[in-house]
Amino acid sequence: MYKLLLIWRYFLKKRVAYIAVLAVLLLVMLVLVVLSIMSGLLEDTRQRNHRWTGDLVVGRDSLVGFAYYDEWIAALQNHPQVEAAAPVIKTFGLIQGGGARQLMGIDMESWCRVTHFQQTLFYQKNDRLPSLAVPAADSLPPDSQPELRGCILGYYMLAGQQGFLRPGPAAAKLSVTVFGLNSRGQLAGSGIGEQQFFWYVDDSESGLVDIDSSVLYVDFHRLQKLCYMNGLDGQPKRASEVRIKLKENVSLAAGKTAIAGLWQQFAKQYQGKPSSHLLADVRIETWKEYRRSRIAPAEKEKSLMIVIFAMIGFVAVFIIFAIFYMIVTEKIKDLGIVKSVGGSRLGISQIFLGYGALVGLVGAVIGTILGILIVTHSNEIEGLLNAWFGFRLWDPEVYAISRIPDAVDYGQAAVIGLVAILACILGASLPARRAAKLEVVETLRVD
Amino acid sequence: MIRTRALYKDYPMGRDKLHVLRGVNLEVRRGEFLAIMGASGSGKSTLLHILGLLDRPDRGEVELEGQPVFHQSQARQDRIRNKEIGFVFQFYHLLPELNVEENVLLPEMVGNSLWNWVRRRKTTRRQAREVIESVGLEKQIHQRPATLSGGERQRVAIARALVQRPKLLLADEPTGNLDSVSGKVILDIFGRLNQAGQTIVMVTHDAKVAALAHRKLDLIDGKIQ
Ligand SMILES: Nc1ncnc2c1ncn2[C@@H]1O[C@H](COP(=O)(O)OP(=O)(O)OP(=O)(O)O)[C@@H](O)[C@H]1O
Ligand SMILES: [Mg+2]
Repeated sequence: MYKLLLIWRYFLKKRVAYIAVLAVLLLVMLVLVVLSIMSGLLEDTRQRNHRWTGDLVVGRDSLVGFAYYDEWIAALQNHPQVEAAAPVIKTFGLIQGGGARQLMGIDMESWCRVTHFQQTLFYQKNDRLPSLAVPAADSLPPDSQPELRGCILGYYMLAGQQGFLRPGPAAAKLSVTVFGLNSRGQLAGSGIGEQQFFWYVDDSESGLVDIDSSVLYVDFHRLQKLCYMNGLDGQPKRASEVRIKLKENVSLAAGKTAIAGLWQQFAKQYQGKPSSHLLADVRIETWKEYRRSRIAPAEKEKSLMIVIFAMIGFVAVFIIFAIFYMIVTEKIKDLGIVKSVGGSRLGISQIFLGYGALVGLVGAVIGTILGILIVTHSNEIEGLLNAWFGFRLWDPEVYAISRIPDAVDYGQAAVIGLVAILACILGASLPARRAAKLEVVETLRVD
Repeated sequence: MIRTRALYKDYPMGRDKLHVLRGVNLEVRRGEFLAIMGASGSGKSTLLHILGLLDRPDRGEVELEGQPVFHQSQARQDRIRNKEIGFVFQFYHLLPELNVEENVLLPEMVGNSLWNWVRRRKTTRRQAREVIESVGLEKQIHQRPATLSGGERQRVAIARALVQRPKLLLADEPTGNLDSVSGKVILDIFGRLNQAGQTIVMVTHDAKVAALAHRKLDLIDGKIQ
């Protein structure tokens, strides 16, 4: 009983305890805010990568690609765990006045089923099905296959000297030179590359800087033809990748195992057939593996942050330790008094442990509440700062995300708070032991 | 009621030892008012601390109502300090964060579990009020020690020592730090208590103070003369 009363009175009367509370509070708040925003960014990075990639990627690193992709897609579509599959051609092209860029040949219908591509488009976001067809315009000669003429640009490729300017659909064209390879990997055709024009019809902002600044999406069949992958050399047609979307209830790991098994059987079937050597080193990757080099840095940053906070936490425990050491030293006489009226050593050390726990509890609770408020209102706060001081805390262009992540993981918040309380008890435990061991009689001899 | 058997206590002093108590034998009867006198540094406080179980002798034993106390468990000794013995110090030793009433209730709070405390709060608070009234401090009951005079603080300390109705009241120069008027008030209280049957052992080196006691003992060279 007296312990509670003393803990409470010490807590209220000792200014230095407020400093300890403040230290705990600030630390908890800081950790919570930074970790929430980092987790939000990481989650966002993962999600954007996943949305752009689809679930699984089957393909080869080589620009030559692999054969029998149509048959493979047919096999996939019969598989119970597969929702959709899309063939992709990947190559590089020289853009007149723009340097080398990546070209991706996509079959719009299947591509949009496997990925979230449509949501990334500017003009055709809400169309039934986006298209690469160039809208009929007087300036264009009539064409029997209009879908072969258009291209979709990565958003950052629009950047010019005046910033981001949309020319409007079919108002600008790019000259692209592509070098095709035959199935043995040699330069095909004339060997000087094929030059073609593509009209801008739309742009895509996936939020992935590497993709949005370098990928030009064109029609699958047109790019296949340009790259000599369409089987005119007497060999089977080729594609670079097949992207797969799994059924909703299939886990990524299970899906990968199933598709890898399916591929083994499939490749065996085509042993000895023309171009079968192109099936040998085909890889099956999940979207995480496929985009690893882009996700890993964000994950590293988060772990680094946790390490830094662990060190800060260590410092905080030390501060609390020092403060409690001071308090114990100052309160030795009180301990003597308590002992003289029958207090036990255990009771005396409990006063200090309880005091530490109370400091931790108050600091952690206030810090957690403030942290949650800051995170959930981060965008309003940023807006106010911007309005008052013209100060942009958050540059949407840098993070490719227009809002500061403002989701709080309450489990994480609880863990942070608990760790802070435990740290305080830890910081108080040594001084508490010292208090219990003191020869208190000495303190009673003097005033 | 309390009796010591050959108490010895040394303190280290450089390489040598300072022999403070060298075989103290003493007996206090129920209802007695005993004054212990002696020069400064003769070991009076040391002896009183041992009687109050605040310190341990190097050798010897203290018997309270025939029971040796230093052979009992620490918990039992804590309990004796809490229930059977009241201690009044020269320098009051009140807790500055607590008010008068809370300081007086401290032994009750220390000695009871939270549950017991809550259950018995009314009675114990009434008892506390009674002892506070008996030392004439009912007006200051909610004040902090820092706002009281020395004499008033000492009266709070006496009230705290009495609240558990201890068998033995120990006082170490309770007037040593007070002017003669305040000292008189304190001594009157002790006299009244003793008349009501309270056993008291008081350390003092003031002969006038000691005159109040039934019996005077001198501590010289670590022994009772
Ligand atoms: N912890 C200690 N270490 C060393 N010497 C000590 C210790 N405590 C007390 N002493 C010494 O023991 C002797 C007796 O001390 P004590 O306080 O009992 O004397 P006292 O009779 O109460 O004196 P006073 O009348 O001044 O209060 C003194 O010489 C003191 O210096
Ligand atoms: Mg003394």
